[in-house]
Amino acid sequence: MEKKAAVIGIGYTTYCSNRKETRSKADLAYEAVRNALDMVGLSIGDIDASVYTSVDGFEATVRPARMLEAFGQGLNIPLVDVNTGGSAGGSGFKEAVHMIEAGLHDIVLLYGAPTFNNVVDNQQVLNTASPPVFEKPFGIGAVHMGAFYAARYMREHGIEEYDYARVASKNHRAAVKNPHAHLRHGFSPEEVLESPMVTWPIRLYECCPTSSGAVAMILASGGRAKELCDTPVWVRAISSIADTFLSGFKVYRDFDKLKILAKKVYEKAGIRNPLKDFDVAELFNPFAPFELMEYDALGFCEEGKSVSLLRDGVTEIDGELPVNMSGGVVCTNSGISSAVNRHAEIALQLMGKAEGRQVKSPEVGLAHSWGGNMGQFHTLAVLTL
Amino acid sequence: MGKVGIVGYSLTTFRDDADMSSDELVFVAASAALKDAGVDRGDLDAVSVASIDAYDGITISNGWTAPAGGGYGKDATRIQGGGVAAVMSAYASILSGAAELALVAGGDSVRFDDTVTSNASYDVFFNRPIPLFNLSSYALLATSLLRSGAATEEDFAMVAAKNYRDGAGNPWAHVRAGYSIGDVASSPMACWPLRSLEIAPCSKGACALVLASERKARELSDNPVWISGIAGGSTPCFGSWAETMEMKGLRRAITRSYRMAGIGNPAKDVDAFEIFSPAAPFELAYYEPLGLCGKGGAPELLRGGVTSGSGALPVNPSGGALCTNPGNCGGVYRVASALNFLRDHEGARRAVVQDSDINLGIMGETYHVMVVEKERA
Repeated sequence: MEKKAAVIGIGYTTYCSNRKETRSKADLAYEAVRNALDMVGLSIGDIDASVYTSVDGFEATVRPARMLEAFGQGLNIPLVDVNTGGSAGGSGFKEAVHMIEAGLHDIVLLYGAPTFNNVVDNQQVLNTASPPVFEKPFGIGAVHMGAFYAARYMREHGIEEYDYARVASKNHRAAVKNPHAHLRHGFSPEEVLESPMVTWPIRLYECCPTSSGAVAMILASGGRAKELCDTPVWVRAISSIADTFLSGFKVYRDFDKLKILAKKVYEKAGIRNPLKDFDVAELFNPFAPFELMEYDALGFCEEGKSVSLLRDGVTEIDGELPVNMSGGVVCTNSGISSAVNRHAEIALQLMGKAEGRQVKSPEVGLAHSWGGNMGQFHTLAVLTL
Repeated sequence: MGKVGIVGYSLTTFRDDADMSSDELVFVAASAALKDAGVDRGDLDAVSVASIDAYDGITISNGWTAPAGGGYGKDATRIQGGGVAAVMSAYASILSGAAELALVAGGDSVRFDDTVTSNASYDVFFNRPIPLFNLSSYALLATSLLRSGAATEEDFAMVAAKNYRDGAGNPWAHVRAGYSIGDVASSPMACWPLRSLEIAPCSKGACALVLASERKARELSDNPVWISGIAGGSTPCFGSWAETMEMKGLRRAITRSYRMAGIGNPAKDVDAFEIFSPAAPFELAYYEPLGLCGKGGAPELLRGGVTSGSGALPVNPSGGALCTNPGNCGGVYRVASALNFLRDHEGARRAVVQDSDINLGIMGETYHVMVVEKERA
């Protein structure tokens, strides 16, 4: 496929607990956008269109983009507001890519908002997302949903609690080397196992925090990308998939929709053997066990054999296919920003600008995002040098 | 650059309260649009839903409506900021080669307080306590028009009555009472100078469109409607009032979409306009940026009947938002209304649809404009 849209700039703010946040939404947006523009040497006047991604309700407002001015509103450029739940960052990335590939715009700014900024109780907001008749009255929270998957996956594939602790620890150790990570404690598997049980089998250090911080990315069309950046990161394929809303009928066995999506995206990108073809991957893991299910769905291993990858160190930062070199969502979860972060991290890795968490000369990477009250949505992007 | 066509569409009738939930409504509209296009769900590559969570009463509400709109197991997304913004997403996805056939849908079933949702969208320190919300922001625009002499209160009543008259003849419209100027002028004052019949209702119902690549569109239809121009624009929330009244974001979207479609003289080149006017004064304020008249010419155009449904330059021949105002699918409804016009009027070939997110109020709003046209009348 012809390479047409590329990532050329990334801008982060620092990340902290959303309860300790002292910066406003406007401060965060300005800082992330400023940093992304500075990386490419552009000004806001060079941007043709902006894509804003967040989830209404969580930010304690309605359509927060309307009250921000960091995305070129003063210059009246188009502002597209994408909200598909947690996967909005991936969906927004897809919007930006499509706009460029369609020839509508040359340079597009993508923003991953600090979704948990200002909200008092995320869970109350998330509960409104459940189907109102049967599911909602149960008060099922995000972690319960995570636990459905984790419990069934353990039972079916002979996975032990220690394995879940180990995958959490892999992320925590990686986050120590990521200056943009929120939790940088480097917990060992033993420390994870000693952390309180939240919803069996998920323990506290296997759950993502609620973070605050934002990210901006600049994407450009072929010609402009080469002009503006020495190492543009090309988008070889991107797509999304939606599952049903009525979660009561679902079997929480594996990420079956992600498997279907991977097949479609790999075909487009010419990926035949994901374990060999990818050099780096950033997967959406708000609960550590998800990372293992994602190895399965993404074809990194034979079905149910994800734990061997982990036990053999294949997905460690120095392994054959490093996964979540950033520490993943389990260490930094600023809502939709975390979905954009997956793409930003892969782009930084391919550019060779991932600082302490840099993998040696990666050329092809995979970015994943996930969302919905029951995780109905996935997006996948294959990025390449 | 290839072309994108609209090969099928459908709308439900609009009313005060829905007898179905949003997913059911979207399912009905999407199924009918697919049937109209002569395709089935399996042929779809992508679905774009137009909605905002606050109007659905739940968060991540695309989870509710996207699968019902044909998105189950497909590439699906949700765009906030209006139906034409969602059309633009599907349009880009087709032109990028990611999809050949894409569906755009929206549905409204939930009762909500549009004052509260609008107020919550404004800045927390300065705007919310005033309190700024959709209606008070519309009234600011209305008083500004009055003060500058650009329109009178009688003009507001006249534009509302014009919409009600046209809406009365539209079988899909929510308000079909055909209120007269006298009815409007004697309706209760809601927020000076706006009277209750000069303000759009909250309507329930659903709409869907099926978009196709040029190849697919020609395969499915011998005279498809093409999207010949589409563009967006934004405005800053803390701009000066003069900046707000200049509507540069709207002008940008209009200029760019007209240029794409090759519209040089809109008063001549366009057969009808469907525009988003959630309070009567907006329609008057938009005539000039749309290129229908020079500065200050709007009242004359209105008083002369030029912009009425049967006039030479019909603006909102569907009755517009005063007759039908679904918060989520409003933009899709306006596109469907423009398509109805092209279908029902012999000789009509081209229509302009203007959409925005000013259901939440002005200041910080975004606009989208698109041009639809048939190859042959």
